[in-house]
Amino acid sequence: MTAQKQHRAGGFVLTGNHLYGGHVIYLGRDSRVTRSLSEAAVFVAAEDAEQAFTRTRAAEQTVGAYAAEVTYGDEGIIPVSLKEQIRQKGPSLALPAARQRRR
Amino acid sequence: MYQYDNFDRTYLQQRIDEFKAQVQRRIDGVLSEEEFKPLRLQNGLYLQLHAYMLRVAIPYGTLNSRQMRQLALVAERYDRGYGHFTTRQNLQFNWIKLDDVADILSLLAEVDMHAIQTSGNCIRNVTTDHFAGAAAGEAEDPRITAELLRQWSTGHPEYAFLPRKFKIAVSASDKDRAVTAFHDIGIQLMKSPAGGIGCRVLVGGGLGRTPRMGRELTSHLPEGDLFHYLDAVMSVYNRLGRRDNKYKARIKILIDELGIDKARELIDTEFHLRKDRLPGFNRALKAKIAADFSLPDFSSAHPHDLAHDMALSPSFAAFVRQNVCAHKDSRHAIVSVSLKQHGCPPGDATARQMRIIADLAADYSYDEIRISHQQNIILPHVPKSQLASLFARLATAGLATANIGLASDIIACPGLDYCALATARSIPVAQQLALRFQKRKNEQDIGPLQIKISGCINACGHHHVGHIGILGLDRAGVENYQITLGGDGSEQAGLGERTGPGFSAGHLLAAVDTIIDVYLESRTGREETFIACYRRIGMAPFRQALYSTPNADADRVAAKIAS
Repeated sequence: MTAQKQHRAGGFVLTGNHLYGGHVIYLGRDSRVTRSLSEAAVFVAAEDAEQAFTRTRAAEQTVGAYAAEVTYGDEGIIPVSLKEQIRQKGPSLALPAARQRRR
Repeated sequence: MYQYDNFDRTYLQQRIDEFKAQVQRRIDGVLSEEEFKPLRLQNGLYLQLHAYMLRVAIPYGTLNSRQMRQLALVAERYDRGYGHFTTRQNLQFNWIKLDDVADILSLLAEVDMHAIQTSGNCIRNVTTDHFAGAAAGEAEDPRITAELLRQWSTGHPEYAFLPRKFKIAVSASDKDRAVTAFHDIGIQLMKSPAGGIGCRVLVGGGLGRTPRMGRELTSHLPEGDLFHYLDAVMSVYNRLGRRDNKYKARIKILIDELGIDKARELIDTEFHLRKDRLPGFNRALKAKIAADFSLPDFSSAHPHDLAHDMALSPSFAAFVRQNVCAHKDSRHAIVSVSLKQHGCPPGDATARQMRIIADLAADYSYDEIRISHQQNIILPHVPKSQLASLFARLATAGLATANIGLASDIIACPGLDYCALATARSIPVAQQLALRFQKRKNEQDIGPLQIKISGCINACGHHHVGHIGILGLDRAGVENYQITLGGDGSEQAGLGERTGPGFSAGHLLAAVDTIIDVYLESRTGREETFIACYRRIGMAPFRQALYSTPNADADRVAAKIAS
C-alpha cells in the first residue's frame, strides 16, 4: 500500500536503471516502471518497496533495483540524497549541447 | 603505429559476435543481471547513474585520425555528442543504450578499436608515456613493450579472473610521464651498459583507498627475461592474492603482507621455472612491432627558428611556452592540445572537437594523436615551420588554451555527476577552480601546479599524486572535500599528505586560494615551483593558514566525524 496520504514526511521509492536504455526508472503507482519520480509509488519502509517490486513485472525491465529515501516538497516527491537528486535531474553541470547554446 | 593483421581482426570479430550473443541472451531474459554483469564488464560496459557507460580502449594512448573520426561518429550517433578522455588514456561514452552496444563495437572494429579488458578483474589497457617515440632521451619507444604486453595479456586464460583488476604502465625515459610508481606493475625501460634494453620493475603501487608507491622487484632485468618475469609475478598474485575481501585484493596488499623480499623470492622461483622450460623472448615479433612504431618520414621538414613567429604574436608565444615541448628531431615539436578550457569539464571532447583534432593530426602531425593520462590531447610530431599555422587553426576552434601544466590544467574523474561509485562531485569543482584562476589572472604567476580531484576514495582522479589533491566524500549526506598537499606522480614520486579536516563545497575554493597564497608568500622566487616550495617549507605553514582562522564548516565536519 502506498503511503503518500498517511505519511507526508516522506518514505521510500523503488528505483533502478532500465535494462535496455540504462535510464533511471521508478516503480510507479500503477506497478509499472516510470521515468518520472512524480509518478512513483512511495512506501513507508524500504522493505515494503522491495517487496512490492518483486511482485511486479517491472522487475524484468529493471537493473540494480533498490529503495531510495524521498521526502515531499513544493515540487512533490524529492529524493533525499544528492546522488538520487542527480539521478533524477541529470548531471549538475551543463552538457556540451547546453554549453554551445549558451554561447 | 601498430598495424592489425588478419589474426587481430578475426579475434576482434569473434569477441564482438560473442558479446552480441550475450547481450541478446540478457535482453531475452536467458541471462540474469548477476550472470551478465561480469560479461559486460569484460567488454567495458558499465551501468552508471544515468545510463550505460562504454569505456573504449586506446592502447598506450595512440590514435590516428580515422580512429578519432570514428569516435566522433559514435559520440554523435549513440551518445550525446561528446566523450570523456580518462586518466587511463581511454575514452568513455556516458549515454549508451544496451541494444546499441553491438553496433558501436562493430563501428569501433572497423578502425581496429574495441572495449575489451577496459574493466573487470583482468590486466587492463596498458598505459605509457604520451610523448613516447617523440621525446628525446628514451631508451626506446615504450609502446613496443606496451604492445607486446597487450598481445600477451589480451584474452590470456590464466589472467581472466584475477583477484582484482591489474594495471601496468611502461616508461622508457628519465622523465616519468606514465606515473609508473603507482601501478600494480610499473616498468621502466633503460639502456643496458652492455647494450640492449634492461627493465626496472616496480610492483604493488596504486592509489585508491590504500595508496602505495611501487616497490622495486628488480633494478635491471634483461629485456629477454621480461615476459617470463611478468608471468611469474602474475602467477604469484593469482595464487596468493586475497579473494576474500575486495578491498584487500590488489597486489599492493599482497606485497604488504608478504614483504618485498619474500615476494621477490617467490617470484624468482616461478621465474626460473619458466625460464628453464618455456621458449625464450620472441625477438622477431618485437622487431616486427618496432617497425610499426618507427618514426614517420621527416625528410620534408626543415629547420625553423620560432623566435620570429613568437615575436609577431604574443598569444602564439604564450602557447609555445606553455603547450609546446621539445621533440627529439630538432625540426619538430610536440604540441599539447588542452581539453581544459576554463569552465569546461576536464577531458570532455565534443564530436566536433574530435573531428577538428583528427583533421589537424592529418594536416600537421603525420596522422598521429596521443591521449595523455592528464586528459589532454597530444599532436606528437609537428614541424616547427607549421606551428604558427596549427596554432591559428586551434585558436579558431577554441582549442588553443595555453594552460598545460598550470593550475587550471586539472585532472578530474567523472565524480557524482555520472559515476555510481562516487561520493561527491568532482567536475564542477574543477570547473569552478579553473574559472577562479582565470578570474584572478594568476596562473602564469603561480607557475607549474598540478591539481587532481577524485570524487571518491577509489582515486580515479589521482588525487594522492596531485601537488594539491582534492578528495570528495559524503559526510552525513553533505559533500565534503579533503585536501592533500605534496603528491607527485613523476620520477620524484610521492604521496600527498592530508592537511586536516575537510571543507564543504562552499569553503573549498577559499581553501585552495589560501594554499596558493601561502605558496606565493613563501617561495624564494618565481623559479621555485609550488612542489619545490612545499618540499622546502613542509605542511605546517599551509595547515596554519588553513585552520588558524575560525572555520565553522571544518569544525562542524570534524566534530561530526569524531562523533
